[in-house]
Amino acid sequence: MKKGPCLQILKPGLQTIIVDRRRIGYQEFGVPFGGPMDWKSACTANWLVGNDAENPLLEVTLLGPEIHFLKDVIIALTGAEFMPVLNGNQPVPMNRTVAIKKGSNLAIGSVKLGCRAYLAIGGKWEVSDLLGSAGSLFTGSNSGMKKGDLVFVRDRGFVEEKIVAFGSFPDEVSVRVARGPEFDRFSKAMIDSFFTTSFHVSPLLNRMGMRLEQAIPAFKTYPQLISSGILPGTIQILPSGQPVILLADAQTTGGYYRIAQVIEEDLDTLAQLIPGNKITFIAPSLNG
Amino acid sequence: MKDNFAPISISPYGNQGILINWPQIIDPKVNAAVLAMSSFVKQHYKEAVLSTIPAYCSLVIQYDPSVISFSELKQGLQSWRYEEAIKEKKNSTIIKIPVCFDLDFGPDMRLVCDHTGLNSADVKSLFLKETYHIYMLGFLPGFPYMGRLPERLDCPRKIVPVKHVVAGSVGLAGRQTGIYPSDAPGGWQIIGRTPLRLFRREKPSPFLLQPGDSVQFYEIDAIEFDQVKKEGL
Repeated sequence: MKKGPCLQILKPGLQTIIVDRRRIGYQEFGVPFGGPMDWKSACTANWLVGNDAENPLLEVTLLGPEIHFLKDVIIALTGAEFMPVLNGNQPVPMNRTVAIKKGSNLAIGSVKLGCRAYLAIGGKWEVSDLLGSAGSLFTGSNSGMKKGDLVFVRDRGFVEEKIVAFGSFPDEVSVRVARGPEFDRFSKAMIDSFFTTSFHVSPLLNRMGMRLEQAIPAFKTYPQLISSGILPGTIQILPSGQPVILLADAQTTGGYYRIAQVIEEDLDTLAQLIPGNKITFIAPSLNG
Repeated sequence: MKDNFAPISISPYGNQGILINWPQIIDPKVNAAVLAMSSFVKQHYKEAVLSTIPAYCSLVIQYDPSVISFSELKQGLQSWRYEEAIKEKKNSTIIKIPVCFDLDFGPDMRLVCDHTGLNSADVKSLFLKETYHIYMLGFLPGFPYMGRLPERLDCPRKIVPVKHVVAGSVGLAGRQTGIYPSDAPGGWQIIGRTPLRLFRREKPSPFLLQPGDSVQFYEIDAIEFDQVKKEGL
């Protein structure tokens, strides 16, 4: 087992961060759940390199990093479609186990379809454990990796080569929801509007949340809600009538009415949306 | 006498969550009931409950639906009695927090004086006199929502938050006071700063302030501020 860093960041891209498991159990201290935005793609990347599902890996958003590898590694890239290039001219396939030689430069580039990709590296990641997770605790806009940052991974040897199917990244998606805690306080007109509007994803989109452009009919005066707990996937309605979908790094409490809750399985779909994509909400069971 | 300590509703919050609401008021006794139930749930449903989010007068529980169903958990919660739980409650800790009111550390003191019609000496003395109950942590890891401020110190939040509030900043908003555990954008009116760290990763209990604790502030000068800061307390 060789010591020393496994890779160095040459260019950080838009927001490249280390993610692993969610920080479950710390929300009473104001700690967001965190974790990968597209859990399924993250698990798949880890599987492709022989790692456990919740092993640390890199989450890459819209514009990927350029990475210099200081050791031979086994990697896999999943999630949104990028066209990664090795050493300036060699395309690197996504969605399969890939061997990379020491001294190589991998440029992930700009996303073609979707929003977020995952770069797994086979082996044990030497990361600091902060409340049970490797991710940043204070997830402000500066918490992404920077030029010069190093990542340490101890390889564990042989990895069986595997391949998975590519994902699909439609421009328009249906998202399944259950009723939220304040669902009953919305009028019939508001609820009907919520389930029939084709909402556009606005540019106000990050790991904390996603604001939608269109508005349902608004409350004349926004009723007070004393701050109450928030789970990822919660859809709040703002005073303007616009929905906001709260995501992995959202604050753990909030004061806007919670109209609906995205089901766990559809959070991965949300992770791959970009501004301009369209969402329709559907309720498989209005009984909650 | 009306019992304000029993929940008024227990409802599903999505497929893996429960929301328990108490009478919707900001009151330390109601909050104590919330925190007591949060402890109860964590203790008695260890396998099933993943996380609890206690707030002023509500409790959100995230549970594993493969271990327990909503109706089972709801039944268990309905059997909870505040009177029993409160007997087991430990006495809340009073934490003393040093705060320096130098102008550099309290950029909004002038604003607060203008709004309240008080001078800064009066603002300070009113602020320091109270013992504040910590209702919940939220907004940022370790950010305490504390109350109540004396009525004369009631100030609105900034309409436009500033991009960068320094870690340790002590702020006012409405009848609440809070402390920023990290650099962050913020809308509270900042009147001073504490050199204490609210989050200490090296400690087994890394959060200095917890819901249910109480806080008293005391004044220090800039020299002591630097000393405490150096010690990394």
